[in-house]
Amino acid sequence: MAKKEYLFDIDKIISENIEQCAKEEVARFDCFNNVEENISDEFNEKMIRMINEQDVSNKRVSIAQKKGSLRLLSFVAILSVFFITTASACAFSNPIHEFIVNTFGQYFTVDTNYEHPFDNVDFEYKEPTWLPEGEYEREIAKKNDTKYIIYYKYDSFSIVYSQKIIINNENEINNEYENIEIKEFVYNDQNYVFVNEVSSGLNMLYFYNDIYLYKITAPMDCEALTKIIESIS
Amino acid sequence: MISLLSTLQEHEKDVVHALWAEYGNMMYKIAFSYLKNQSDAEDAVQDTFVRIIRHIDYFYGVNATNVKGLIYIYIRSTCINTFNKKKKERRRTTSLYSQEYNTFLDYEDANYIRPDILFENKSVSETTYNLISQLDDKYKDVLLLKYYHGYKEREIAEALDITLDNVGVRIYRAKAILAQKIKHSEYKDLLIEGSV
Repeated sequence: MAKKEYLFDIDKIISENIEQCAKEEVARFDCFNNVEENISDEFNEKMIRMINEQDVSNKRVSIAQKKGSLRLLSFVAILSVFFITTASACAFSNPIHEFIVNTFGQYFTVDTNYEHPFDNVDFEYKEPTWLPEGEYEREIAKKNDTKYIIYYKYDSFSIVYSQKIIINNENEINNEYENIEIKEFVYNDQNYVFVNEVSSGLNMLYFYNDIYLYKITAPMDCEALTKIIESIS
Repeated sequence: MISLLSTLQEHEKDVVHALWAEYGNMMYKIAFSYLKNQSDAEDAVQDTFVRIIRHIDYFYGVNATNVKGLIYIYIRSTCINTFNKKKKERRRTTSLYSQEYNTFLDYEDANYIRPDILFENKSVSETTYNLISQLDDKYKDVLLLKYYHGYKEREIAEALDITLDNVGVRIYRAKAILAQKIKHSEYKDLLIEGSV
C-alpha cells in the first residue's frame, strides 16, 4: 500500500507539472484538425435548432424533465416487473444477505440476491461516525439512487463512502480493475465483500441491509474499512 | 473568443452558440476518430454538448486555450464511456466470450492511427510532465480537471459523467501509476527517500 508521504509528494509533482501537460493537451486537440470527416449539415442544423429552441436555463429544465420522464418510465417498468414477481413476496420478508460476485475479464460485479420492495422505502441516508484520525473536508453528491460522501484529506487519498438504495439485483459494476482479490466474510452475522486491488492497494468493502447497499473505498486494510462501516448510523 | 467567454455571462445562449460554432466540428472530428462511425460520433457530440450546456457555468471566465482543453476532456471522456459501454455490452451479450472480443473490431482499424497518438509518438522524451501526459486518458483527465482546472471531485464526476467513487479511484490510481513511473525514471530523486 502506498504510504502517505509518498502520495503527498506526488501531489506536489503533479501540481508543478500539470500546466505544461495542459498546454500539450491543447496542442494534441489541434492535431484533430487534420481529420477529414466533418460534421454533416443536417446534424449541424439539428444542434443549432436544439440550442435555439429555448434558452439555456430552460434547456436545463427540459433536459432534466426529459430524463425525469425517462426515469419515471423506467421506474414504472421496474415496478411492474416487481409486482408481477411479488407473488413470492415472502422471499423479501426474510432476506438472506448474501452477495453474488461475478468476475469477467477486467470487470466485476457485486450484486445482492435481494430486491427491496421500494414502494415502502424510507430514504434515510446515513453516514459513518468513525473515520481514521485526521482532518477531513466533506462533500456530498447524489446521483440517481445513490448518495456519495467524499472525505478529503489534505495529504492522503480521500475516503469515498456511498449508500445506494437496493432496487434490483445488480448493484455495482466496477470496471478497469487489474489483479483484484475478492474475499467474502461474515462478521457479527453480516456478510461483507472485501475487494483488494493488489496493484494499487486500493480496497473496497461492501455491506448491505434490507434497504441499502453501502460501500467504502479507501487505501486501508479490511479491519479499518469494517470499523468505518460498523460506525454507520 | 477570450473576451467572449468572460463577457457573455448574462447571455448563456450566445455563449452556447459561440461554443458550438467554434468547436462543434472539432468535437465531431475527435468523436469520429475514436468511434469510427457517424452515428456513434453524432451521439457522442450531442451527449457531450448537452453536458457542456448543463455545466456552462464552468466555462465562464475561462480563456480560449483552457476552453479547448476542457472541451477536449469532455468529448474524449464521452467517447471513452461509449467505447467501454459497448465493450461491456458485448462481453455480457455473448456467451462465447473470448479474447477475440477484446479487440473491438468495428472500432479498431489497424491502418488508422488517431492524430493524438501520432502526436504522442513524437514526444516520448521522458520529462516529468510527459510522464503525466503519457498516462491513459481516463487518468490524465481527472488530474487535469483537479490540478489544472481546479474542479472539485463532485464537479469532475459531473463533467466526465462518472460516479464520485470512480473519480476517487481514478485519482488514486493515477497517482499510484505516476509514482511507479517516476520511481523507474531518472526523476526518482523527486520521491521522498524510503517512502516507496
